[in-house]
Amino acid sequence: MIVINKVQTFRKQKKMTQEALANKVNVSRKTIVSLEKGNYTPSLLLALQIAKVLETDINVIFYLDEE
Amino acid sequence: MKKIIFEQTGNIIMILLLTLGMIQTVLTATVNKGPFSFSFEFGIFWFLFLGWLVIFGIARFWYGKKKHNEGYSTRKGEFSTQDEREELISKKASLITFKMLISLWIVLLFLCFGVGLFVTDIKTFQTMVIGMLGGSLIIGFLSYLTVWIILDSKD
Repeated sequence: MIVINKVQTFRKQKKMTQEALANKVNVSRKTIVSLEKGNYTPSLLLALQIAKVLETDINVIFYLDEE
Repeated sequence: MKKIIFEQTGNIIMILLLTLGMIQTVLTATVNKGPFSFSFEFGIFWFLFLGWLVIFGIARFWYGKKKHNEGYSTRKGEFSTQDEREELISKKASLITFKMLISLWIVLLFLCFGVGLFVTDIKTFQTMVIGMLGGSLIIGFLSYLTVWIILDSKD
């Protein structure tokens, strides 16, 4: 099972750059890039921080791929 | 990634100069058993090593103070991380390097034993042991650097 994320979609809705989001959650831009590509699964803390910055529920941005 | 390249390049040069300095001292050392006396000389590599320690020390301090240094910490060195993803990379790179070094040291132990049985010249054996230990440390630094770069690029 893998974690799917909609960070890119929500970030673009907020008209936020990867750099801006990275700065808000105190990570490198590369981490946001990896995360959006699905190559990196964030910790619960980072996932919660991202959800807070993007003003949405964590379950909406991050969810399990049941298949 | 730059911080790891910076740190490991510095470490490799430091160990290389230290190893060469030690080998040079061993090769020039003379020991008389009766009456006991010994002499050795500090070659050029010791001075280069001390010079490099100062240069690298200043560079590390400067890099640590610099803004936008990718989270480099003078205290943590190659284990400096900017965020949780880099922390994970650092842990994986350390684990792979540890496994690689343990395997290498087992091979080197047998090599020392094998060569030690046949080498009659003590200086050759001393040089070989210092060279192998220094070389294995350099391989360790290179391994950590390579794994770090591969894992960072893969993401």
